Amino acid sequence: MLRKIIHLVLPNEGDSSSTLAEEVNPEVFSLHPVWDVAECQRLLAKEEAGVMLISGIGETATVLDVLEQLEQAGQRVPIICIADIQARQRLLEERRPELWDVLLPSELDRLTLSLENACVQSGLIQKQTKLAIEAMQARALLADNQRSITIGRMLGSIAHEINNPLEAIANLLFLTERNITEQEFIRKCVKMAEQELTRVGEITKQMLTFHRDSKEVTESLVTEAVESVLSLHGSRLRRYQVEVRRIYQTEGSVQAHPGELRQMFSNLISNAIDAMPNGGRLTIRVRRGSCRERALCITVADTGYGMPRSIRERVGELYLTTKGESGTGIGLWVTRQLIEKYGGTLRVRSSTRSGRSGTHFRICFADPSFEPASASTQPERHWGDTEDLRPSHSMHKDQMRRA
Amino acid sequence: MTAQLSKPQVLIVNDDQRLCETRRMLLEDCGAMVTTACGIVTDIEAKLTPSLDLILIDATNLGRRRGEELCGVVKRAHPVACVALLVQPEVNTVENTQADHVINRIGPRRILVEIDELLGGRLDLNLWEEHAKYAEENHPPRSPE
Repeated sequence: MLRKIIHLVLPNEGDSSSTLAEEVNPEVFSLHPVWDVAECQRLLAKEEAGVMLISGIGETATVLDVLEQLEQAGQRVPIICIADIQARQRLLEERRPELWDVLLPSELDRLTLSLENACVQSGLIQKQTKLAIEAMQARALLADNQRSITIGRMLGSIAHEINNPLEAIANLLFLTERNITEQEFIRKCVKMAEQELTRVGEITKQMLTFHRDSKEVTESLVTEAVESVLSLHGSRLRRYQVEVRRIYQTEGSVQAHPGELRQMFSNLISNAIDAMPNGGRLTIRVRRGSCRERALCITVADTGYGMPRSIRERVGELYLTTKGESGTGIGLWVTRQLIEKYGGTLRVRSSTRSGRSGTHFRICFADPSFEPASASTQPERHWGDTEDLRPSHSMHKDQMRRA
Repeated sequence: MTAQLSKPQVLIVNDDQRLCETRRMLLEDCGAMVTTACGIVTDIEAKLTPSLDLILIDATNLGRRRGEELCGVVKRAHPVACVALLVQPEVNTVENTQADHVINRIGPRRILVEIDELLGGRLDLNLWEEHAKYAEENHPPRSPE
């Protein structure tokens, strides 16, 4: 197969393309001469060539400009330059990774070999780029699917929430039919039925709000997202006799996609409920933090089984689940990704000690326009071990501060 | 007084207060004496009396496991009571329940007919069509052979 090589001929040279064309094996390579960088970029974008040859180098600054422009366009291809000895020296000092080889005009006999090696490298780069793009797409798809999984898990709960008022309405209609002459009783039944219909409407509204994908990042209220999720999990909370304790010191405004904010809390709340099959307490606290980096802190704490150290250390890893076949190991991973996306941090504390077991997730968001809260902030009780799941840059900062 | 004594006595166990209320209205309208309890064991135990004819426990509302667990709790505390588990056929699959009967939640008519069957026809119902349908489904006529 004939391999196409883009040959950028810089202006200070005459026409070197024909000379170089004689140096390469025409059965293997086809040189495609171009005289400006824009044309080069167009051909590279069309993936017509994986290797580039630059000749006519007088000023190294010109070549470096070309490399800069290609890098800015995200076009990574191995580049071979033909340069005199001074220019070669300067280019090699630059040690640009895309600079595959710099040949002197007297070394053109090894151009074919250099091109062959560059082609191999180009194939690897293309493969790596393709893999990186595929991995990114797969991660996005996984995060998207997790929302469907969350909704699927909630469907049972939602079905109960809807079926109950529907049955109540059916009962009321039946009673109305049986007592058609009793005006007062009928009025009472109709009023109750109306209330039940409002209940159904609220549930479907919450469900649709959860599912609706807002395209824009807007100022979203954390308490609103939490309440929406709690309402959808209402049936499960009652079923498992989980008491919900809300401590809202602020409404908690975050610049985020409302749907993603709900997804974030849905995963944490759903996990908390799963951890308390025999009842317990779910505490949700939203408060203003004490510094700019932690301007808003949200705590989701349960009194469930807790996590052993081996699990705790790996919380937020993809496919890590303690729920066997019923778990996917994606929920907490997605939550972590979403928190990091909005510049937040996630910390987990957990204890399996009898009588004081439970898990405590704390999400903190930074606020550039932060003003410290005037209310006294009580020191938090520390129990169990702590795993810091903040993104690496925050961790570095923290470690540096400690150092 | 005699009339009150002859009324069937039913305990409804449900953690959804509004559904509980409409079921109470429904059964009272059909001549039953109804007490209600939420799905907490202590609340149910406090309301278990020997005069109860039927205890209705909702499996779906309390979660399948919890509803069935409660059937066991009630049967242990009050072995002679007739316990019926109300299930949603599309949600619950009931196996090895300790309840005496399983009633499908498919509309008030069907629920009343099934409850009436359990109470020996003591409810004031005029649902002969539903009765006939239920009887046909549960006791299909024998073939001539």
